[in-house]
Amino acid sequence: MRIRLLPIWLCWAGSLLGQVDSSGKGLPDEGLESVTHSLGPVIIVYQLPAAPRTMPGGLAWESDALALDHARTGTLTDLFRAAPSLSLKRYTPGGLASPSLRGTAAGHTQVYWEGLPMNSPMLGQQDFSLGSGSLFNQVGIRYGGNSLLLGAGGIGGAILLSSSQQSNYSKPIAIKYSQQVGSFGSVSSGLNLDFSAKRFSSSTKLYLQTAKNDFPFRNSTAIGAPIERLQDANFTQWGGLQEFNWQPRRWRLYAKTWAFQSARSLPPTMLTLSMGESQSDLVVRNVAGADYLAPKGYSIRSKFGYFREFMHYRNQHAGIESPSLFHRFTAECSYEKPATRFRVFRIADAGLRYVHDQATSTGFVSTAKQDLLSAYGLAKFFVSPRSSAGWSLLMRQELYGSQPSPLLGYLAFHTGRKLQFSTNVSRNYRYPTLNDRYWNPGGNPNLKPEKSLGAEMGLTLQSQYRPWKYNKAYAGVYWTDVQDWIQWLPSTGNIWRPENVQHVVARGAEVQLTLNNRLWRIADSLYYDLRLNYTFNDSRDQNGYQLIYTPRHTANIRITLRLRRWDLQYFQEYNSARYTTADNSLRIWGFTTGDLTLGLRLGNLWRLHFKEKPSNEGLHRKIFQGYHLQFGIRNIWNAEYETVAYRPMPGRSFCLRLDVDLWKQNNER
Amino acid sequence: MKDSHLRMDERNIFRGQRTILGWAAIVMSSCLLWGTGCKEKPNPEVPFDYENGLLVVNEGNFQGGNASLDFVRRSDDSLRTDIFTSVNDRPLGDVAQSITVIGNRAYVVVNNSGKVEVVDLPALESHCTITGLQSPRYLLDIGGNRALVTDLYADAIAVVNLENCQVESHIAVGAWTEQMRILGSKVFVAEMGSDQLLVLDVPSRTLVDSFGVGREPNSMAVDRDGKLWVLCGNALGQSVPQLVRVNPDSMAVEATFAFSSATQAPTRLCINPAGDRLYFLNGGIFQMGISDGHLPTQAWVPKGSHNWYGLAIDPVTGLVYASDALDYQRRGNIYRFSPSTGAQLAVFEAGIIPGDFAFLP
Repeated sequence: MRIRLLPIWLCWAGSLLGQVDSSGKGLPDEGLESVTHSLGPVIIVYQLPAAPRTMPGGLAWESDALALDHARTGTLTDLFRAAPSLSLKRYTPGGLASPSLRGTAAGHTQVYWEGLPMNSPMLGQQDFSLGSGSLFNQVGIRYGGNSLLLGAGGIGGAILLSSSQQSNYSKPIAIKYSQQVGSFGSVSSGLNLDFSAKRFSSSTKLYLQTAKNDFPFRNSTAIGAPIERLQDANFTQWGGLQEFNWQPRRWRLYAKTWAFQSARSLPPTMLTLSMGESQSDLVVRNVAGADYLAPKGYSIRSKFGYFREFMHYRNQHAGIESPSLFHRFTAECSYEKPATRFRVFRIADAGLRYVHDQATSTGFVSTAKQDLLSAYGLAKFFVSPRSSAGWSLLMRQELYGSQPSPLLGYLAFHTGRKLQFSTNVSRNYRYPTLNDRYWNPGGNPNLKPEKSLGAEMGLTLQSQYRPWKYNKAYAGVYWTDVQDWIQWLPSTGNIWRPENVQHVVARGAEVQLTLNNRLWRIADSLYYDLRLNYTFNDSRDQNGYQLIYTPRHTANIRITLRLRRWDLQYFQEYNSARYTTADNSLRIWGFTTGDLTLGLRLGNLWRLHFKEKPSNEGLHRKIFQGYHLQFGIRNIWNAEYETVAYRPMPGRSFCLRLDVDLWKQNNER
Repeated sequence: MKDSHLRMDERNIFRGQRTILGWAAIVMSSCLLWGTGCKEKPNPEVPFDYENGLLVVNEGNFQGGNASLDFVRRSDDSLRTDIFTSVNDRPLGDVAQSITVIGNRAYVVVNNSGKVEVVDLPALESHCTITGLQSPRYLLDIGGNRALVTDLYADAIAVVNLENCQVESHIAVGAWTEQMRILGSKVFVAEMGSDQLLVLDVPSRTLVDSFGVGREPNSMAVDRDGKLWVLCGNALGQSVPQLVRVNPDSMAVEATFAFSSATQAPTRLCINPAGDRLYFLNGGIFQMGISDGHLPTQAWVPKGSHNWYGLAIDPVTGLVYASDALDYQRRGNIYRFSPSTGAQLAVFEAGIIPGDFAFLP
């Protein structure tokens, strides 16, 4: 007879100590590995801690399970709608969507997939309309200097995307299918197939999204402001993510491939004619790695990445065909040691990364290449063995080709447990993109990197009584000074050329509130979850003007109520007016939109019990089925708004979604 | 005892959360009110006669939808900005390329909107909108209530009926066509996408001839002797730009003045009312006599920190107007210069990328 104990999961505490984590899932504790014991033939599966991707004293945000589930049939934009201090500039639904953090530019937001830098070496940013929200179960943001642990260039911060499937013996097979249909020809399908054995697991995620986007809008630029329908805004994308994990004793070996293809038309503005513009993308991203957890507690990780990204822009009327292709090879290794408060000083982490990019485009005379070598070390100090107060110091040095970066750094102090105070100063930089340096005509190979200094401080009050009962409030301020900000300016004739001309200072204040509890006075089974974020941001250039498309005020609030099988979610976001010209002479108005979703769970209605082996009476296997039906109203107040001037966004729309879960469960007795 | 203590604790927490929930509701409802109902109404326009002054066409940013019209009155130098929107309560469009005044109407060619906005003068009220154009650049009156419109992408010149504001027909050409000049019964068209000057016959509205002048002809002027000057600007830096003088009767190039380097990109050729002095932009503002044997080596008005973008000569006063587009991202400036000394006489703040001008009697 074999008795299997459930895994004991304890969080990776050393790296989380003092961190200001919005998720509420990362409370400080000691770093211990998790172990699964099996009596009889003993099997020990060491559960390696997740890679530390945040630093003490820095601000971090993690998406919660509700938000992840909500974005399952959407794109990456839907994953970050409720994120604090993030502004998404969206041309149309499905069109280009670029994120920017804390009032900086989109190029100052670095995006990482499985810890590998993902921003295009040509454009220096990411389009969040590409990729499905169903592919990731770990989504987060590291603000300001806290992003230096992952890499340089994230002057505003860094966005993290990760899918991490753990071997789950109690649920060896799980299938999840999601189907959504909505207004304006919107159809979204997703299928997840998860398989877990003792040391091996596999996860397959597939998706297909398509929409006509022919929504009506009021054309305020035409005589009589008629109602028109948006033309040429259809998009289709499909793709998937496959991952394999194998955990032989103290090792974890994994391989993941994320691939997708998209085709979309680019609609005109209210004031322009359709030029027959379209864009297609074909992207394949691969990562393979090996992690080793040593008996003494430290871990060594290594990984290799290869990205191939092809983009083709077409303009039929202008006769423009502009294909571009880049390859990125990444190799990195890191050493991590969980710091504990029982050791006053420790070199906690160190890592080395090599990136090789090569790109071809009609805008380059020849293949453009660049090599990056980046190394960092992170040390943590504690004031005394029993104190919660501590210091952290990170130093990072980069080498682009033969050009060294300035010495980059992050110094933070944190203290307190229930009421935490944290502050940090940092020095960051961003190297010019390949387009900045080599685009023909106009590229400027003599550009200097953008350099920044940042500082922030904040207070966090948090309490957790039970998993469903969690309260947190955060209030903080930040300051970022960016010198040699790159701007494309008119040069000779019609040629534009990038120059280091701008000096931008971004200052702001952030407030975040999370309340998660049971409304036991009304009904014992009524739970609520409330999340509120507000950011004031003042980003001014050297002439004292607010940066274009940078709102001063952003806020969002999400309220979720769950009563037995029913759940109701309301989400409201607000963006203040945004200037569209550098001298702030023109602007588009602020907007607020609200979404309402009602869901009904019909889970566990049918269970199939059977014995796996007649001789083994203790082990039963069950197949469960669960259904989750959701009805959503987007932009429920039918607000007319634009996030880019003269590019209308949809009014009220509807969607219906069904999730079907099937899983086989091992029942241990 | 322990349980009651816990319940008290929970009750206190609940009270605190209830307060916070209340605040959250207030914030949310404020957001609703804040965002949905706040649209500024433009100030009602007081009727105004746009005459005896200068109309400035501000291109605006590509796909920015911020093209506009400004007006400077000659008598008192008073400036009125964004007058098309003020009068007609809608934006002008996306990339306003040029303006032509025919009789008591002004025709504003809005390139990226594929249209020509027609306004009645002096009130500037919208008369009609000419649509059906692909990427229009310049409009030329050819008489008989007809006009020609050149185009960037259409590979055709549109013939427009000015009475009914309709595109009547097209004249096929080979490439991007830019400025036009009418001399007698011929229209000379700068085919910017090649090195050709096209010749159209006005009565038959057909293409009758073409001849080479230099790469990328962008602008033209007619001097007092009836000679046609053509500036071949080389905007993409592929060859050395040149200024050529053409005999419009024989359609022969009489003189060629080559610039010193392929990195130069001269534009906006124009001529003074007397027809004896040419002006163009080449970094700075340059002036050249029609009988000079060579190109000027010194700028009449140096570039300095300016981004000279538009240039025009007042046909009545001979005053020189040039626009500074700055970095194309903010409102530009209009400068007025003395034609005799080149001294700066006045400066006005215009809209985004001021590019073309029209002088109203």
